[in-house]
Amino acid sequence: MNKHPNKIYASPILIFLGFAALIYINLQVSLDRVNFYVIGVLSVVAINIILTVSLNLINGITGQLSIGHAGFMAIGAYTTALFSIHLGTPIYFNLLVSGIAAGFVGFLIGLPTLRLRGDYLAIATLGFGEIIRVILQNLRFTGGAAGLGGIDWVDNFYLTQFMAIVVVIVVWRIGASAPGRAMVAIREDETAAETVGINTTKFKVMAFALGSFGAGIAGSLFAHRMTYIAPDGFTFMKSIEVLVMLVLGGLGSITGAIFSATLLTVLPEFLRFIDEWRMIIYPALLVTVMIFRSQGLFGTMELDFARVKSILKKVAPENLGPEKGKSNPPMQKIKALGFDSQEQKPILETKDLSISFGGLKAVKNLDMQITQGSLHGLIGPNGAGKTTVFNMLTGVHLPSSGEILFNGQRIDGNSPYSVAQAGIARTFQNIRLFKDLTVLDNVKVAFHLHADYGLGTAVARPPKFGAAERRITSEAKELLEIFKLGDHCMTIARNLPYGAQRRLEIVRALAVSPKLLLLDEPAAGMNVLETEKLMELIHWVRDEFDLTIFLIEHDMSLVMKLCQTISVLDYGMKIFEGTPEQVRKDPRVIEAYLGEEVS
Amino acid sequence: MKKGFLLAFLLVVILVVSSIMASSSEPIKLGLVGPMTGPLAPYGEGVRDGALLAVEQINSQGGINGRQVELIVLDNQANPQETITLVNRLIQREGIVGLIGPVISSTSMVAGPVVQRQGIPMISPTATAVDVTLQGDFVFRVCYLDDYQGLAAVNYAVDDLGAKKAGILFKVGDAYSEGLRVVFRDNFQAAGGEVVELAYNLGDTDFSAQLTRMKDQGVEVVYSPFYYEDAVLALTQAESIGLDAIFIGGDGWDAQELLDQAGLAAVNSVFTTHYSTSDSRSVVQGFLSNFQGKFGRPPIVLAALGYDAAALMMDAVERAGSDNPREIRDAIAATQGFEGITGQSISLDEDGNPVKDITIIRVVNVEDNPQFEFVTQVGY
Repeated sequence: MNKHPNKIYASPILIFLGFAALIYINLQVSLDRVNFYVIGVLSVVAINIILTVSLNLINGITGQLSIGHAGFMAIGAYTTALFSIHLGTPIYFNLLVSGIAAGFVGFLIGLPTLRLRGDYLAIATLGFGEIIRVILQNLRFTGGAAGLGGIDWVDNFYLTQFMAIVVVIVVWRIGASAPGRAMVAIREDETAAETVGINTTKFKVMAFALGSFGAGIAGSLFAHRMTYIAPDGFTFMKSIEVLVMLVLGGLGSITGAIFSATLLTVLPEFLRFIDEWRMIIYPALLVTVMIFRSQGLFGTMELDFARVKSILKKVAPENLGPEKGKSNPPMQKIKALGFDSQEQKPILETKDLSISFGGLKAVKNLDMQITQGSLHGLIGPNGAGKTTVFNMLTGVHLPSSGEILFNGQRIDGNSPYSVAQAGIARTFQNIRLFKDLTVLDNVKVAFHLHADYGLGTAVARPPKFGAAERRITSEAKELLEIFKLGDHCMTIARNLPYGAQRRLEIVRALAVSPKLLLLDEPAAGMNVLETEKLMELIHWVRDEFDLTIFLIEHDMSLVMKLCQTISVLDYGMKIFEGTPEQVRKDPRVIEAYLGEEVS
Repeated sequence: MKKGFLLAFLLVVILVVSSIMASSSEPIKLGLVGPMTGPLAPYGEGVRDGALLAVEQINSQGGINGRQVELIVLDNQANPQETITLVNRLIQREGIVGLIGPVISSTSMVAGPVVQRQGIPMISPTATAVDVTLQGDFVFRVCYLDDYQGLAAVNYAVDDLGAKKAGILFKVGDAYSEGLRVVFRDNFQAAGGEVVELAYNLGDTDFSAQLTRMKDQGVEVVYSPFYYEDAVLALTQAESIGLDAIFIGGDGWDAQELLDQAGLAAVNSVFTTHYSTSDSRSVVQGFLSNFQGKFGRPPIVLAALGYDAAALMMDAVERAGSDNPREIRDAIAATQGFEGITGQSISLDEDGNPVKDITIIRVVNVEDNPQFEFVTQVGY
């Protein structure tokens, strides 16, 4: 879906124009120069912006295709209606409880459904959206199909506009914070996100609940404006309407969401003079945009406030480089642990580890110990089960039997993110970077665990937030600098040369501060020279970061020169383990490699 | 000097005449909001065409107090949010003095508070939900409420058909269907009858299970509060399973398509509606022929209500002798014995609801062709 860079920055002129328009409109309204009709249209624009931007948090930023937004709007609207009718509570109170009610239901629905992906999630959210409506239609206290009337009339343009601005700022701030980066990482590659320690379920549910909260607020404003609501105002078509606004503007772009919500609300009013024909122009516009600009008008492009600031203050926007004179905390921390290779104590141990896929036993009774601080290799012919072993160690696959002990603690059965949090990081055989993010953001995502602030801080932005973000950025840059990727900070990951992508994946894994690093065929696709360099790099990384490294490799020369211990896997069984010299001589190993003499 | 005086006099005359011309030639603006596109478009268009006919007739007779009437029609696609925007637009931008519509109850519910706040009278031609006119003293309607329609059906079933056991087939989640169902059930039970209620869902096309159960229970009448599309299905399926109870429908049945599509299966069923095309009053026959002449097709039943709403609004403007919306409102509220198509003598009660007769129609077999036959008119 994202075949385009994540951040292209629009001209600051757009921002100035936007603010100028906002000020102009408010001036006109405050001077009583516009009539109810225009103010009413503007209120609808604001409500649609709230809906679209809050859906963007779920569909755009987190990449979870939800098409049940109208259901959550309905919960907000009905909560407001019931409070207003029965208790006569003021709109400020109703806004809050409606948001909370919708957010809570979003949380409850999100927990089970967000385990689904793609089309399945879309169908499930569609179903839940409809269930909410059907329940409202059949409950007596919600007025059934006839709906609820007599809600307090509050058609306050300023309040509606204010709420829209608040929602935009909140979603914007979440997007540009550690939790937001975790959500974007889930959109880009869910498996890779898990392996850098992101609890994907938690962040998906968080995004879903927050998006639903926004829909609840929109529903509350809607109810106070309409004074009467009925279930048929919240059908599937309403959800689609919001989704269309989001897709037209560009999934993932708040700017695009605001723009298209405004356009699609105001345009039909201007087109009213052509009667029925406007019903054709609207879909024709959609089809045209989708054909010529399938990523939406704005793609994932955002307005760049840093650039506006830089123009205003004449400072460089990304002036967040390492502060001189300060040491690097994570590297210091790791170094402080000391180098304990003398102890020869196993950092990772598998006991009788097996896994079957259907009838096939991919790995059989594997017993293995990886000594702390060692460079341990895993070799074997194609299909021997090497990557399967990695997947079990990192929690991607659940072993059928046996145990995995990391630092003496059992970790089998743990989910990938908690394995990563415990200190095991990995790279993938086929590189799995967050391809559409910048090199810097790829690393910052992995620093997620170092961000010692939560969602509240991300939204409120106290000084602590800036400090944490500066620290994360400077640490990430420093790490990239070490791996000679410093010049590529703002490059989109997919545009890096192949070797640099491999290096970036290692950097990203190191950003998790692992104790054990698993490398899955790091030299795959590299020429002799590059392999040579990689070997030096791996050695250096092990010493510099005091790591234990466990690697799968096909390139025998690399393994033989690099590793102290080598385990050989064939048909899922460990057939040999020893030093490179022993491996080279062993007849079983030679046989496994079809009699080929290992050089 | 004399020349100058003459010039000044001429100028004054021109000014006075032109201002009189302006005030008398400026049209009286009325607004109409309803679904002109989307699935409910046939209803909106019917109401619109009926209202346009009424306006055209007034204008061809010289307008109201010498001023022409202009009807501004806007399409709300039956969407409540859109309706608020449009009503505001009509009032603020077009300067209407009265609103006809909206067509659907849910849109009338949201339009009510808007006209109430801005002091513009509104007459809904077709919104049958009870609460619509309770929203304020600027909100009126010309159709009867679901309560009266359901009650008329019960009275006909009990008094004329002598039914003791009635089935009700209704559409779940549909305000019209569920509203009539409750009225019929409560009143039929109060009259000492027994009720078998069976539901179907939106989109269902097979009612044979429900109808078979009604047959087994031995119901004498089947109350069927839904539109003619579903009625066609229910009638043909009832015939094929041999259920010979009499079907009683509501105004949703009043369409030529019922006869065309259900054929002889519709014979003997009855329904309550707004007027009969066989009514010999000249207003009714004139309406039918003028409508056919102007639009080249017979009017649907809602067109008669659109006509009556517009005619009543213009009658009130004339009686008020002013285009002040408040005075027009007072004139509407004071309506007594207005002759419309859907009632020989329509009066409005203190809630803004019409007091008029309900028409009952039966489907009869004329030489193997099903036809509508006027049965009776009942007052309430």
